[in-house]
Amino acid sequence: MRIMLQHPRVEIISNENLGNGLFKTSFRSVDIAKSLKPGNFVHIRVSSGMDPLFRRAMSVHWKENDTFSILFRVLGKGTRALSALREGEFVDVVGPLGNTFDTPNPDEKMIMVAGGTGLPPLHYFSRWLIEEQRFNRQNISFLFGVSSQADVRLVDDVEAIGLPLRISSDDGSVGHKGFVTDLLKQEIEKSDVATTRVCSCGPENMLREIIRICAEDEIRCQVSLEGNMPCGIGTCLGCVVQSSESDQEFKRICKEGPIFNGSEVKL
Amino acid sequence: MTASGTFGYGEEFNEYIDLSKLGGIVTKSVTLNPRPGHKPPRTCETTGGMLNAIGLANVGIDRFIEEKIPFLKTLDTNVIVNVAGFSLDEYVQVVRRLNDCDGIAMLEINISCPNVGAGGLEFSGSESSAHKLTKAVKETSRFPIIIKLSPNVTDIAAIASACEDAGADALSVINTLVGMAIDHYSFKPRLTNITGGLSGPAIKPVALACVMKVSKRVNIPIIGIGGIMDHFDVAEFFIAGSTGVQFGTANFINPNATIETIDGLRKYLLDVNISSITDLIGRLEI
Repeated sequence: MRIMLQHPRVEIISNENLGNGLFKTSFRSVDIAKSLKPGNFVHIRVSSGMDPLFRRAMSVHWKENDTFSILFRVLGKGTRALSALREGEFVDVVGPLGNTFDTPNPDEKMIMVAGGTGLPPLHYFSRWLIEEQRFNRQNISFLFGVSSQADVRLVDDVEAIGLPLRISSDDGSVGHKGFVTDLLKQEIEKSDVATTRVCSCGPENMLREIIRICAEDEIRCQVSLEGNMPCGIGTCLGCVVQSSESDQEFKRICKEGPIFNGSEVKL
Repeated sequence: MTASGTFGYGEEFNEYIDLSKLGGIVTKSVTLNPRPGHKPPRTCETTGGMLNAIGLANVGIDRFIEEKIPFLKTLDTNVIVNVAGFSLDEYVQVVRRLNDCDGIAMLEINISCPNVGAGGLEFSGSESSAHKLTKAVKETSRFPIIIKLSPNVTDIAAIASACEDAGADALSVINTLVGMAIDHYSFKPRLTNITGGLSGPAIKPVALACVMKVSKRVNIPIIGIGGIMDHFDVAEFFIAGSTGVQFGTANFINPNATIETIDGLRKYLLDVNISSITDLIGRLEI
């Protein structure tokens, strides 16, 4: 089936400034919202001109009825252009793209490990498990690493779900002082590894360490990756990640991912 | 047409657009042996363009014939297979294998990939090497041959002329320009391969000049490539001397760019009161 691309323009219904360069933008699109799954991303043309030229790949933070949202930090000209969009404006969005997380059995335990703006896919997945899969929220531990108190607004949406949440910060201004991987190790000690799954998204160094920890304890682990993504649909071969099987094998983040089993990839 | 390396083997775009509306699709380069490609990062956005150093990642000719040709044969458009190699013998071997395949309209010979060490640019760098390779490929192939030229040379028209003399049926002008991007905080290049091929709207003026120069020297058809985004760009390439065009980077920004251009061109031709696009070819007024 062909996805109609003649009019892929979607309306922005809000663009909220969360402070410290963080923004949450919501869009209305019946077609995109109805097909979205946790972990999917959308490819947004942030400018109608030639600079920035490429679409920006954004993981979806949540979807509700015919709307969906993204959450990002302004880092370059693409995210700056996104942050400047206003309610009522229309943008060209292709999606949903990419794969989704494996759904756990109802009696399994989930540990979500988010680093900074790696929050969206894990927020979406957690809420989806609870609201659409009737998953017991007490079986989800949400571990969230931020750089400092300044990013604490990121935590709002996770707190709203009402699941067990632990925070770490680099400077100790909120929660545990240190890495979120410290919290992961503590959480694993309390868990039955045979019935526990870890899902994570965040900086590459963090994901590398999480994959290592999970491999050591033989815990099933899925990570959501990002990469420079010119096409977003698997043709340009630009956004690849190295396969763990061979130095000579790569996987396309946009097509085979962005969710990978930790054992599949070498970061 | 869609340019090599920007359209895969048509499979992905088949979900998005009606490929039968295209003049043809040019496949990702195929080489004799499978190639994993370079380590990431392989791409980087620049002002009005992109750098890529994919490294001719492809499945190799055996799997190409086994896995890709059956799908390509089902497409209701002209399939142009792009061939790359690291020695003259490799090009000839790949072309010989393709001779046994059905469903191919033409071959485009990539003698200008800027992102691989051996081969690639080496063949488009001098008139004698371009001539030798074109002749060998032409003598082997049962399909018409398009030679894809590099702008990274002193005199592209001289190379074009050598290809024409050696029997090339058409020329694709141009491949990407060698470029680089640097992270000013880490002092490191943004691509693992250090340099990459620059494409996108940023290179359109270079491509137009190359098409004009080549069109003055050769009588075979020229397929213009380089930063084409819409029907106005297409018109400019025809005016410069192209008889066909390929869309590359534009496919990433707007997967529907080629189809929208067809409609746009119709309107443009009415505006300028020209009945057929062929009447635009080489109409540059100096």
